Amino acid sequence: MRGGLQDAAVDMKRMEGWVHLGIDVARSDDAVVLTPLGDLDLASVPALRQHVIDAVAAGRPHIVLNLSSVDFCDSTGLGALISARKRTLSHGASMAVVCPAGPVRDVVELCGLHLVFTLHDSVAAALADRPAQPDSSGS
Amino acid sequence: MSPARGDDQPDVVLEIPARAEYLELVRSVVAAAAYTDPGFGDDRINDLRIAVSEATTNAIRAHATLGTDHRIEVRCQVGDEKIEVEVCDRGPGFDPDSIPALPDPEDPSRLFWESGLGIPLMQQLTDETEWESDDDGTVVRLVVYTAAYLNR
Repeated sequence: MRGGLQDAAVDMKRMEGWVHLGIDVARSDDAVVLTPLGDLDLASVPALRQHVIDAVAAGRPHIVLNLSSVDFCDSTGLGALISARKRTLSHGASMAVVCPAGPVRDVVELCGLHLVFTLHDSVAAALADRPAQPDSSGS
Repeated sequence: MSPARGDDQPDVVLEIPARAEYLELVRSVVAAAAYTDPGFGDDRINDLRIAVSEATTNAIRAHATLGTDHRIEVRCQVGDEKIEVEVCDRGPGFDPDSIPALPDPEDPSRLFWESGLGIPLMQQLTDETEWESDDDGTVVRLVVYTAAYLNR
């Protein structure tokens, strides 16, 4: 019989997949917009998590998760949003979520996460929802 | 005994490897089964898709923790103004009452709870959610009724 934390960790990795989810990435100097395309579930969240990690590591101070093209989201997908929020906060970055009315927004609100994130109806609104950057000129 | 596990063969039986790539297939099959009854609208079927995804995700995780290659079985029975779905795995199960309550969404500590949403979602999105565990594994039973039945 297999057992132990190490084996379990290996098997957890095996069960995950990198399918169903293309992610459109749009970068500017101070922001990145991640637009997942498809379903957010156990199979696809590793890809989203990695994109968030990469964006934070690249020093983008503002990250927008655009869920406009997500067809389905379960609690694993919602967990990925919370994880992204934690990561951005811990690195001094900000995060905004685009989630127009529809089934995905319904489940986000059902879980009360509209109180954790500010939900925007458009990418433009989410890009505008970022803390003011320090004035580098000193004026 | 529930209809889906009784002597009557369920309408649909699906066996999948315990891998996340099969989640979408399970959701699609269950939704297609539900659509055979025009009494189910898109909203209710979407609720069911989420609940089934949660139950199957838990089963996949249970098999990964056990390190077993056993398949997960999903059974659907449509009729009598309801759809009943059972997700059967080899995991030891759990006591849903033992799951700690999530902090209020406005509580800053809420950000430390990436998991724990699945069971409440299943319970909120279906009309009946039951767990049954024995030495052979765990069965999660999800039932959704038609709007006509619920409004009667």
